[in-house]
Amino acid sequence: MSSLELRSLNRAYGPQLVVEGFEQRIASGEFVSFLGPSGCGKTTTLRMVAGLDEPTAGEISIGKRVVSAPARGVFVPPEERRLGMVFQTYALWPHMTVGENVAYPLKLRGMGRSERDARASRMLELVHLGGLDLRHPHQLSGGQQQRVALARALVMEPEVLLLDEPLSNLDAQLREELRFEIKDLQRRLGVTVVFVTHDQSEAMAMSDRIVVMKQGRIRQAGPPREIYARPADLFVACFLGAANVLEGVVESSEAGRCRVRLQALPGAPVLACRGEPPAGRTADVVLRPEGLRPAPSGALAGRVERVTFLGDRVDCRVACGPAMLRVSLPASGAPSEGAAIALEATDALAFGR
Amino acid sequence: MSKLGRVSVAALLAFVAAGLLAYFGLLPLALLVRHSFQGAEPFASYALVASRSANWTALRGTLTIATGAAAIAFLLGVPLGWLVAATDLPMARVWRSLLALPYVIPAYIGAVGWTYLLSGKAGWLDRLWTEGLGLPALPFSIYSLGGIVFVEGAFFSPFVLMAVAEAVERIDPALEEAARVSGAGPVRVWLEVTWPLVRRAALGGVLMAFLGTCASYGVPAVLGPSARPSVSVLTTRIKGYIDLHTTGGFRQATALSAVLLLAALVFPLAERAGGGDARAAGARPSARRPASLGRWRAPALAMVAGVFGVTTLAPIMALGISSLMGNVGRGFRLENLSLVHYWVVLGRPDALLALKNSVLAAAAAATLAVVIGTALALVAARGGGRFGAVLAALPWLPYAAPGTVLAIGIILAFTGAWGLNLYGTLWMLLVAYTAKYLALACRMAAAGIEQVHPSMEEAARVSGASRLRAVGEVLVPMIRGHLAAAWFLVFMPSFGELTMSVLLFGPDTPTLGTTLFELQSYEDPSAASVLAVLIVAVILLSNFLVRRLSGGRYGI
Ligand SMILES: Nc1ncnc2c1ncn2[C@@H]1O[C@H](COP(=O)(O)OP(=O)(O)OP(=O)(O)O)[C@@H](O)[C@H]1O
Ligand SMILES: [Mg+2]
Repeated sequence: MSSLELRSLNRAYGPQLVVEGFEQRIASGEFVSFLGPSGCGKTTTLRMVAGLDEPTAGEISIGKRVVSAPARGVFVPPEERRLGMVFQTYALWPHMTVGENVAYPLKLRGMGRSERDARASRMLELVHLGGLDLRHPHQLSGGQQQRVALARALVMEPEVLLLDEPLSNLDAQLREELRFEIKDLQRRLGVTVVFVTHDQSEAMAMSDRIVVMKQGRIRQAGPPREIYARPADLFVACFLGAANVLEGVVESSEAGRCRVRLQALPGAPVLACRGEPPAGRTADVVLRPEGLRPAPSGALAGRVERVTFLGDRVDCRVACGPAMLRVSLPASGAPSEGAAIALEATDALAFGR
Repeated sequence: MSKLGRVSVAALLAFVAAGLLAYFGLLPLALLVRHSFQGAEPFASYALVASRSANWTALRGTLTIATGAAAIAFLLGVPLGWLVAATDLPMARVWRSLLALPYVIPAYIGAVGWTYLLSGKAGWLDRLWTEGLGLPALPFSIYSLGGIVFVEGAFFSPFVLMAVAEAVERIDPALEEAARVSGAGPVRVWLEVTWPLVRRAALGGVLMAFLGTCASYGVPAVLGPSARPSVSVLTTRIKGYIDLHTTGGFRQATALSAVLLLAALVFPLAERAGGGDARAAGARPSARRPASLGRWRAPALAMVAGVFGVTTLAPIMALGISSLMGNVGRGFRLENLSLVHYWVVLGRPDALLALKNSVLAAAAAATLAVVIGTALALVAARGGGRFGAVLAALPWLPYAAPGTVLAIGIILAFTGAWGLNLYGTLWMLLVAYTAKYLALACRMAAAGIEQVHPSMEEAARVSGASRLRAVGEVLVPMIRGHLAAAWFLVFMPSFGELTMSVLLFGPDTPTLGTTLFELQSYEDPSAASVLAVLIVAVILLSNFLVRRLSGGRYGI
């Protein structure tokens, strides 16, 4: 197993920088997700790690080995990087059987036929596909193909496993199932994993750390809980989990806490928030749907417009003056549509403009 | 590994392929144009060429024949293309293949076939007419301007037919149905909806037929000299200049060739119009419901069968019968049926040598074209950028150039002045066939590569395969059907090639085409028909294999 280090990585296509100043150290055995909206440079970064794309500046090391360093003319081609990679399209070779697909990386390393077939079979068992060696990829379901791709990526015990949205082509249930399997395999094999996704729940469920990206830059990196609880900026706050965003004016601010007046709302309520935007300036206040709850003394007064039943919880839309707030409440004792309601805000976050 | 080392490995393939293309395909054409301007003063050769009235006659001949042939191709191709693609004509698929057959068979073979049927007085149809029916001699012969126009038109009609058939299939049936629902009758729908939608493709096909006829050598060479008055065209005129074996003659040949090369400039137009080279234009089974011909079904069938019989079956049958007739003088009798000509031909060293040469040169050219074409297509498809796109377009230049012109360029380039002297060797033919038909292989390989997502190779790279190995063990096996089809697409036209071969062959390197041509004009028509049957049989077999290998998407 190896650590992975990306230092000041840049990638330009013509004048456009699609990855800029990417700096990240991934520890050996760590599971790290690159999370961000479409086009933010996740795939590009992953491909640079794999050697399928070249940085225009910066350095990449796998373990102690520098594999990309354009300034020094260093470039290790993908076949010499000893990585495993799972592609979004799976990229299973149709002219080989499942067993041959999985055994191919071993064949390239000169392993004899019987040994590599045995190892491929064992690997297939590990991903719950024992006995399907002789099938062809097109004879498998999407989930099974995904598992074959995983087995192929892991068969030569790579130092680092790269996954590019491996679950995005699967239906919701299968996705959930495979999340656990991938996580389980990673724990058992101890392999370092870089996982690319734009699904925040996937990233939060699986990762030791999440790297949130936007427009080629890292906005924040850290454990899922920390990022969720203490997002560095408005973008990160909104990208991880649902959020109500309200505009206000900072009244006072000190020691990481502040008070923000929401002028547009009825009664111009003042909320206590975490964050330290400068006093007197405009700020954005983020309220999580589950951070709002009904309380007689609640500062936010409104009317319940719509209640959506979601099983154990309900999702309410509450009109507070011009703003429409999303509120998540336990199903028992939920308000009815049209009722007046007062909400209390906990864990409000404020970000200066 | 250093960056430099990696780049050179990656670029090597592209570099070698591009170099071969430039040296063997583009240099000859450039030299030809340059050579045409050399001499006392830049335009001396052109002035000399223009001063001969025979050249103007030849130019007129070329344009007349090409116009006539294009008209015939249009008149046959449009209705037949629509009938086989859009109607409930019985066995429409089969007719479609049969009517497209002349596409893969060299036109000169059709011309040779006709010489047995309609030669003025001794042809079988002539004799049937005069001796059988006791009528005065037929007023026409295949040895005439009209005969040439007819054979060219018949053999180029598949260009229009296939273009129209494919265009009709691409039409969304809802467009026609909407017009019907709006109140238009079937004829009106055809004229106002269907025809405007296929017009572009049809005209592209007509333009291809025109250009093809301009470039054609075999038919006018077989039928033109014996016509009264004799017919001459640019290609035969150029060959005449070459046969003078003088420096001046050669220079004038290059000037005439440069004029003919102008046709290549129009080629992209025809290609883009969708007339295209339908050999590789995939035809999908259409989802449209065939239009009902109603009581016109029988007449339509008769017409289709009649056209096939007259344009294709008759000359091919004539060749077959001639090859099997023991003694030509004894006529059509069962006891006159014999394989004697086949044994004679198999015993002739010159015929065997020709067979060996044609098989060798065509197979080697096909192999080489597939390798180079795949490399070019790969560079174009996988990160060659604009350079790659240009590289993949270049093989069309030698393909669009008339064979006569390309061959003269090849003589200029590879008789010692530019590093290689291949004169009189089989290499000369190999170079010509490869350069000419590389575009077909390249396009076929590109069609295959297009279907393979780059991640297939990338997965192999990450698994530990070098770039070459990823191509060799992942990409190539995945497109092997396409590559095999590409091989036959080059082999087919090379095997019976005549136009370039007559200019390039030497004493030791006759080909089937050149031998057939000589046998039929001077010596032994029966032996010629045996060779023609052989060529047709091999081409049909190749075509069958292309269809099988491509799952019916390519080939006729
Ligand atoms: N070959 C290329 N040439 C030019 N621009 C490119 C190229 N490849 C990617 N880009 C650009 O780089 C940016 C980042 O692309 P990338 O594929 O890394 O995004 P991503 O984060 O993986 O997005 P997604 O979630 O949609 O997969 C995009 O704006 C894209 O348009
Ligand atoms: Mg991506």
